[in-house]
Order: sequence, then C-alpha cells, then structure tokens
Amino acid sequence: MTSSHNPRKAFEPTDATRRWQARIDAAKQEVAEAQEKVLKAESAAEQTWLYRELESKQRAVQAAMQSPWG
Amino acid sequence: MKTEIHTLLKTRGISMLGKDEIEQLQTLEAAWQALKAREANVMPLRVAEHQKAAHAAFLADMSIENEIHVAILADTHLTLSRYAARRNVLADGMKQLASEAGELLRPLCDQVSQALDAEMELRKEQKTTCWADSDPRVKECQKWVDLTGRATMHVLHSSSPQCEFSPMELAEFFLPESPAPEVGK
Repeated sequence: MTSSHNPRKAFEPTDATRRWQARIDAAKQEVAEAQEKVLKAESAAEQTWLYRELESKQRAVQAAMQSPWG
Repeated sequence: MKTEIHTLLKTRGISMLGKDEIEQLQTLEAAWQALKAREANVMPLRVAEHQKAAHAAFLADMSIENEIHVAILADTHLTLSRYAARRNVLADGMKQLASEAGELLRPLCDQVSQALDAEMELRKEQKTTCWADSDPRVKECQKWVDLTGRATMHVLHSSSPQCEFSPMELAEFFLPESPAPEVGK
C-alpha cells in the first residue's frame, strides 16, 4: 500500500521538491560567498573580475529559482 | 575601507548622503526587505506547509473560501510552478528597487569620480619625478581612485539584471557613521 492517501503524509514535500530547494540554497550560498569576496577585493581590478564571477553565480540562482531542473 | 572612503570624501570636501536621500534609501530598503520576505514565503519547501495550513484552516472554519484555498493549492506541481513565477516577479521587483537606489547614489559617485580625476590631472601636471606613475602624490591619488572605484562599483552594479544587493547595501560606503548625517556644504 502506498501512503498517498494518508493526509499527514500528503503534506510532506516530495523528494523532487527537497532537491529543488537544496539547489536554490546551494546556489544562494555560492552567491553569498562571492559577495563576500567582492567586498574584500584588494583592488578595483580584482573587484571587476570578482563581480563577473558573482554575476555568473547570481545567474545560477535565478536559474535554480525558476526551474526544478536548473 | 568605509572609514578610508569617509576620510577621503571629507578631505575632498564632498558631502555624504543627506537626510532626505537616506530617508528615500530607507524607504526603498523597507520595500526591498518586504519583497525579500515574500520571496522566502514562496520557496519550494513552503508548498507542503501551505497545503497543510490550508487543510487545517478548513477544518477550523469550513467556509467556502477556505475550501477554495485547499483546491488552489491541491496540485503540488502547479503550485510549485506558480511559486516559481512569483519568485521571478518578486526578483524583478527587488531589482527595480535596487536600480532606483542606484539612480539616487549615482550623482554622488559621479561627484567623487570627477573630483578625483581633476585631482589626478593636477598632480600629474605638478609631478616631481620624470614619470608621473612613479610620483608619490600621483600614486597616492591613484590609490584613492582605486578605493572609490571599489565603492562606486556596487552602485554601477545596481543596474545589472543580476543585482542582489539591497538599497542600503549599495549605499553602504556613502552612509555617515552617525545617525545624523553631516552636511558640509
């Protein structure tokens, strides 16, 4: 018997939903780390390069937020 | 870095952000934070919680509205897609607010850049060594340009479609230390 008709079980997030949330959380964590690096940049030139890296991480967050498959 | 920038602006006679500008930034920040909280409420894991809450709300009050709410959230996949669409529109809203903050900060950034560029030109003309780049006063000014470049880059970044800094984060380097802004015009 599956537990799909058990109301208590029905309100549990599916594994796919958990994976989706985990992808968003991981991508956001990478953005937070990249932002930290930008703020600690030694020079404007280094910061420019770090900003590019940050933007690519932010694009990854946006992709993760929109699609369960990335 | 913030203290260095404050000292530099003070010595160049450039005013920090004024009371009105700070108030506008705080309004933008409050709106940005509100959208951020709404975004957190439509994350994938919230779907099951909301379904459970709607179920409990119906059992507590068997109104037609609560029944419809259960039906709206019934399809998990559809609800996940709806929440993703909401996150998308909320992110656009936050970017719009950050961009408005950037517009507010840009005149100050331009003022800083122009003052430092003029200072740099002057120092290059007055150089004491053969090569301007090796002149200590030119090197010092170059350091200032670099320093403020790092602060203004956040503001320039505010127009980026990927900007995730909040209005007050963008303004961080140009906010006075004390709550009462110092206006030295």
